Amino acid sequence: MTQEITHFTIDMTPYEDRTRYEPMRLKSWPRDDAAWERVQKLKPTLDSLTVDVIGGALQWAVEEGEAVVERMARSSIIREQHDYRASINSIDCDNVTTVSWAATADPIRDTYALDEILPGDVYIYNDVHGSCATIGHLPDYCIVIPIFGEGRLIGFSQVFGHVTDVGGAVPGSWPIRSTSIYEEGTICPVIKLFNAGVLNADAQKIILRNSRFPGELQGDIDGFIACARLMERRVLELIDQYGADTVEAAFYAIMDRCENDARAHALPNIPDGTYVGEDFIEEDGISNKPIKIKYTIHKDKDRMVIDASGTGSTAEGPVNWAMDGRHYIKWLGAFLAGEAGQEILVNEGMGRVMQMMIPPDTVLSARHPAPVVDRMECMLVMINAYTAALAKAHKGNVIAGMMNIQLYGIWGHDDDGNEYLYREIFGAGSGARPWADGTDTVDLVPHSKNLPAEFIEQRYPIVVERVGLYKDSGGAGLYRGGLGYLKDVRCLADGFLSITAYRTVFGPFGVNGGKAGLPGVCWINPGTPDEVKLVHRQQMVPVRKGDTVRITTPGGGGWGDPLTRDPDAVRLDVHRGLVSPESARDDYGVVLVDSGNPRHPLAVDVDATTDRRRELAANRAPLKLIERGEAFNKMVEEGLIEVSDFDDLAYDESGNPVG
Amino acid sequence: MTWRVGIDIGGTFTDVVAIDEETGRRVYEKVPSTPWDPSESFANGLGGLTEHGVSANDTAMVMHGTTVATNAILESKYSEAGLIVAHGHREVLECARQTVPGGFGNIAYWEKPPRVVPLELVREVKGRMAHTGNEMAPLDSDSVRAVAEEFKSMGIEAVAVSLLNSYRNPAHEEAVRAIFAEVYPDCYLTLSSELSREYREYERTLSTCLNTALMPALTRYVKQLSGAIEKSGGTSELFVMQSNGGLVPDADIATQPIKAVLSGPAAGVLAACAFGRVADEPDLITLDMGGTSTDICLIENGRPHMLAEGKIEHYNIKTPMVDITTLGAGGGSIASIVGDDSLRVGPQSAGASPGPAAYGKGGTEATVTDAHVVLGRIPEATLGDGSITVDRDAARQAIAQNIADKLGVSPEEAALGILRLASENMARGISLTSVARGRDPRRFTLFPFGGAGGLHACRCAEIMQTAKVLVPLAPGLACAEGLLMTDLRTDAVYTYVRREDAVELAELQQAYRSIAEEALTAARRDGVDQQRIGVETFLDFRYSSQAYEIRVQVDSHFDGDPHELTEQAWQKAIEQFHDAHERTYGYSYKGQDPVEIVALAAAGIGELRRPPINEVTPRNTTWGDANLGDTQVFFESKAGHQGGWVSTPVYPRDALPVGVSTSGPAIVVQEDSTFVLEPGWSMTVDKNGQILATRD
Repeated sequence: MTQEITHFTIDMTPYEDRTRYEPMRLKSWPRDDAAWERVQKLKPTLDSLTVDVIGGALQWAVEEGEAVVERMARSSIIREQHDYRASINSIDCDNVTTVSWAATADPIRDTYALDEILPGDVYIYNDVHGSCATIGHLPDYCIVIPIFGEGRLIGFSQVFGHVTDVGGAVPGSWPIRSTSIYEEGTICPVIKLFNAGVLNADAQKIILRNSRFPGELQGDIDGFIACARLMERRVLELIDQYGADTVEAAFYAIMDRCENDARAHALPNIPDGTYVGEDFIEEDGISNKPIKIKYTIHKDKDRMVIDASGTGSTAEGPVNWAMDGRHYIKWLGAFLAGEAGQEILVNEGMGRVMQMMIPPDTVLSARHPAPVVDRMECMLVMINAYTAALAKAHKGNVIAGMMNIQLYGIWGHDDDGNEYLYREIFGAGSGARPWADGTDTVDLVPHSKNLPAEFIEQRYPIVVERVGLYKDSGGAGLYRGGLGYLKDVRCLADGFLSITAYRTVFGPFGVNGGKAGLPGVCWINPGTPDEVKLVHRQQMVPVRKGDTVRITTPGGGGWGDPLTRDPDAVRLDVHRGLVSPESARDDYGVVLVDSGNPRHPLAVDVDATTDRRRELAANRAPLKLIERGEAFNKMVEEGLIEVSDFDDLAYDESGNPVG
Repeated sequence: MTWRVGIDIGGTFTDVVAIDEETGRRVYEKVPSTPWDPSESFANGLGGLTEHGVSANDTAMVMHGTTVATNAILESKYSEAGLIVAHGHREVLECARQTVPGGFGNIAYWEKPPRVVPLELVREVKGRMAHTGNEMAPLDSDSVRAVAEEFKSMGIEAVAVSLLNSYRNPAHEEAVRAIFAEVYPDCYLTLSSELSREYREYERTLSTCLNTALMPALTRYVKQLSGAIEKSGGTSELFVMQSNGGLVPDADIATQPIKAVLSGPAAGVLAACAFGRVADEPDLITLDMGGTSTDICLIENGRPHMLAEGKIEHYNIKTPMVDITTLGAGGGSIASIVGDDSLRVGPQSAGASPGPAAYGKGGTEATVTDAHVVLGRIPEATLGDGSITVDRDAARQAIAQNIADKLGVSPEEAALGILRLASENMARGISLTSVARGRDPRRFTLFPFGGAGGLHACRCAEIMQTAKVLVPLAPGLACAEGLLMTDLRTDAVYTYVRREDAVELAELQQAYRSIAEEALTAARRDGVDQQRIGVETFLDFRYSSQAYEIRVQVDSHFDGDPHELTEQAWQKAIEQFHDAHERTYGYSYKGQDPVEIVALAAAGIGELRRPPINEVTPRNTTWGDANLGDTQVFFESKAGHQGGWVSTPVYPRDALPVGVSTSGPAIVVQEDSTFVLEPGWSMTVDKNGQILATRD
C-alpha cells in the first residue's frame, strides 16, 4: 500500500464538499471581542518561560481538580475506574490543558449568548445530540463554570464524569439493545444549575429523581462542582499574578506548542503517503453483523488527514459515536504524539496537525436520535484501525491489536432487600510491541482500577472465587501479546447479569507474523452440565444464588514470527502457567521436557525444538502483515466481510519486511 | 549514661549528633559515608565521638535513620521470596490494579516492572475466610505443609503469607505460621495481617512481599550496627526511625523493614517540628532539598501530616508514614532544552559525581547549582572546609552551551529561568502537600534544610505567598538531630466498615479497647517511664460509597491505660468528620447522609525526654561587623525591586548578631549550606540561633 512520493501534498478540496464530508468541527466561535487584538499581539512577545509556568500551573489545576473528584465522588465507576476528566478551555472553547476526551464548553456558547453568561453560573448537561458532539453518552454528566478575569469572560473550567445511573431502560443506564437515545436515560439539556450563584433547586430535583441511585449522583455532581470551582480559582490566581491578557495569550501559546511539537517531532517519523487501516465492531446488539471502521490516512510533511470514508453507516443498536472529527483527533493524537519520542501535551493544537474527515451518517457521525450508550467499542476499534494503517507506513513496526476495556454488571437485591449494582470494568492484554511482549490485564484509560475482592465481598452479595490470567490468550509471536483476565465470582443472591464485551468472536490482531489474541467471553457455571457461554453483548441475563459467573477478557495480538521467539522465554511462560505446553509445541514449536530440578522443572529440548520449528515452518501459510484470527478469516472467505489487507504479507521471498 | 546519639547515613556524609540529656550540650561529628558497608561509617562516627569526650559507656541510646530499605526497593536489590495466597488468587501480583502509569496512550509503550515475587514462586492454599470474619472453608494444613517443605528444599529464605479477608480474621495466616514453625523454622515469614489490618488485597499482599523480601537484608544490617556499638564498648540499645516518625527497637525493623522505607527523611521532619516549636512556629512546610531530590512535608500544630499508606517507587505501601512528597529536583538536577525552546529541569541529576559543572569534578551539564553560581547566589571561595571549590566560569560555560545559546539569551537570563522553574516545581510540590489537602500555604512558615533548601526558600515562599521562612542553625544536620527529637511510636490499624446506623457500639468499643491495648503494649519498653506511656486514638470516616476517608482524632492521653470509647466520644467524632469535610471540600452532608466508619487506629507512644534546644551566646556584633565583604548577585525583577546585579553582603552563619533585623538582599554561608535572603525580605536571628526571615 505504501506510496513513497517525494513531494506528496494532500489534496484538501474534496473535504470542502459538504455532501460528502461533515466539517471537522461542527461549530466554532470565532473571536471578535475587544481583548482579542491585544491577546494576539501579546502572544508572540511572551517569553517561553512564562508560557511554561502558566502551562504548568494550569495542568496542575486540572490534577488538583481531578483529585477532588476522586476523593468526593460516590460512583465506583468514577472513583475506582477514573471515568472522568477535567480541563480548562479558552473563551472559544478550545482545550488548553490535556484534553477532557470530547468534553468542552462549546454547548454553553451554543446555548447562551455571551452576555447571558454570568459570574457564578454553573452549567450542567448530558445531552448527547444537543451538545455539539462533546458528550458521548447520557451517563456522562458535564459541569462547566465560566471564568471571569478583570471583568471579562476569559474561558471555562469543565469536568465530566460517568455516573452510576441516569434512568432509562436498565439499571446502570447501559442498555445494549436500545434503538434510540430516549431508551438510554434522562436527557438534561444545557441548563444553568446555578444562575449567577443561585441554585435552581427544582432542576436539581428533576435530575436526581430520574436516577436509580440519586445519592450517588448527587455526590458526584457536588464533586464535579468543587473540582470546576477549584480550577477556576487557580486560573484567577494566575490572572492576579500575570494579568488577564497575559494568561489568555499563554492559552494560545500553549496550544501552538502542541501543534509545533507534533509537526516538528512526531510527523517526520512517518513516511509521506497514503495508508489504509480497517477494523471491525463485531455487532451492534440489534443486527448481528460486523460494522467496519475504515481509515484512509494521508500524510504529508505538514499534516496527517484521516478520511473515514468506507466506515459503516449509523448502526441500529447503541454502538454509535455521535462525535465530530475534532474529537477523534483528541483520542488518536496521543498515538501520534507517542511517535515523537518525547512528551507532547495533547490539546486542541493537535487538530491543526492532524485532521479527521467523516462522511455524514456513519457509525462515527451518528446524529439525533441515534442510540449511543455503548460507543466505547468504536473508541477501541478505531485505535486498531489507526494502528493497522500505520503498520503499512512503518513496515510492521507497530504495536499489535488490543481491546483493553470490557465490563459486566450484576444487579439485584440482597437478602435484606437492598438494591445493589456490582459493576466492574476490566482491562485486557495489550498488544505485543516490536521490542517487547504485551502487558497482561491493563486498562486503556489511565488510573482505571479493578475492584479488590475484599471490597466487592464487603459491598455486594458476591464471593470472588478466582482472579487471574487467561492462559494462552496472548497472541503468539516473537513477542507475545499480553494476557486477558479470567475471573470467577459466585452469586449469593439472585440477580441479572449484563455484559458489554467487544472481542468475543474476533481476536485482537497480530502484526508481522504474530498471531491474533484470544477473544474474551462470559460463562455461567463453566465446567458444569448447565454451563452457558455468553457471546457478544448481553442484557439482564438471570443468575441464581449459587451460580458462578466467569469473565474472560481478550489477549493482545502477537508481534513477529512465533517460531523465532526465544525458546527459554517460552519455557518460562509455560513454567509460570501463562502458556500451555500444547501451545508451546504447536504455536511456538518449542518442545519441553522435565528437568528434574524443582526450581526449574522444565527444560527446552533443543534438538526436538529445531525439528519441530522446521516442520511447522514448512507446513504453514505465508505470514501475514495483519493476522485477525480464524473466526475473522472464515467470514472473509465466506464473503461476509471484506478487508483490504487480507492478503498483505509480512515478509517478501527474501524475508524482508513488506510493510 | 547521659548521652543520646543520632546517626544519619547519607549518600556522601554520615552525620552524628550526640546530646547530653542533662545539659542539652551537643556534639557534632561528620565522617565520609561508606556505601559498601554502612556499618563502617557508623562505627567511625561513633568512634569520632570519643574525641569529643563522649564515650561509649556514657551513651544510653543510639538512634538511627536508614535508607537501606528505600534503596533496596529503588534498586530492586532484595531477597528472592515466596508467596502464599488463597486458592484462586495466584496471580494477584500480576493483575495488580490494571493501571498503566502516565498519560493516555502510554499503554503502547509501558513495560511492567518485575514483580517482587515472580509467579513461579507463588503457591495457593485451600481454605477461605469471609469478609465477616467467619470461616467459609477450613485451611488445608497438608497443602501448607507441602508448600513449606517445597520452599525449604528450594532454598527460598523468605516467604510472604497473604490470605483473603485476613484483615478481618487472621486465624488462617496464624495457622500457616504455626506450620512453618514446625517445618521450616528458619524461614523469614511475614503475615499480611501482622503488617496491616486494612482491606484491598493487592496492596496488602504487595507490602507483605516487599517486607519479607527486605527482612534478610535488614536483619543483617541492624545486626552489623548493633555489632558496631558493641565493638565500640557500648551497651546501648539501637533504635531505628520508622517512616511514621517514631522510633522502634532494631529488632522490630528486622521483622518489619517496610516500616523503615522513609526512615531517613522522616527524621528531618521531626527536627523541623522541634525547631519550629522553640521558634513559636508550629505550622511549617518543610523543604528538605539535597542533591537529587527534595522532600516536602506539612506540619500543623507541631505535628507532621500523616498517611495511612504511602508510596515508594511504583509501589503503594500499606504502612502509616509521614506524608512526605518527594520531587525529583535537587541542587544537582540537570536543566535541558526539550523540543525547540521548552526548558526543563530534572529529573536527571548529576548527583555527587560528576556533580555540577561549578564543582570541577568533571560535570559539564547545566545544573541548578550552576545556575545559583552564575548568578552569584553561591559565592566563590566561601564553601566549607575547602574540599569543594566553586568555579563560576565553568558554571557559566555549562549554562551558555546547554541552555542560553540554544534559547538565544544571556547565561544570566538562562540561569534565572532554571531557578524559576526549579522554584515553580518546588512550589508545586508544596501546593500538593498543602492545598490538595485543604490547607492554605499562606498561613504556614517555610522551613528549608538540606544542602540547597535555603537557596530556594524565599523564592518558593513568594510563589506560594508564604510570609515567613525559618532556617535552622545547622540545616545539613537536621536529619541526625531529628533522631533525638522523637518518641517510640507504634501504630495499629483495624478495618471496621459500617454505616453509622449499623454500628453496634459494644462491638466497636471492644475493637477500640483491643487496638489501644495493642498500641500501649508495644510502647512499654525499658528506659521509658511508666507515666510517659501514652496512646492516641483515631477513627477514619467517609460518606457512604465515597472511596477516601478523613481521619479524626478521638483521644490522646498519657496515663498508660486504654480508655473506653464512650457513646458521647463516638458522636463527637462523627461531628468532627462533618466539620473536617466541610473545611476540606467546601460542603458536608451533615444532617442529610449517614457517615460510614472505615477503620480504627491507635498509636502507642513511649515518650522520650526532649533534649533542650539551647540558646546561642549573644554576640556583641552588628550586621556590619559580620559582613565578610559584598559580592555581586543577580536578582530577578519583581514588584518594588528592579532586577539585575546588586551588591550584596555575605554573612558567616556563626557570626550573626542576635535579635537585630537586617533587610535583604543578603547571603548567609555556612559549612554545608547557603541561605539567600531575597530583596524585599528581612531577617532576624532568634535566641536559639535560627534565622526568621519575613516578607516586607
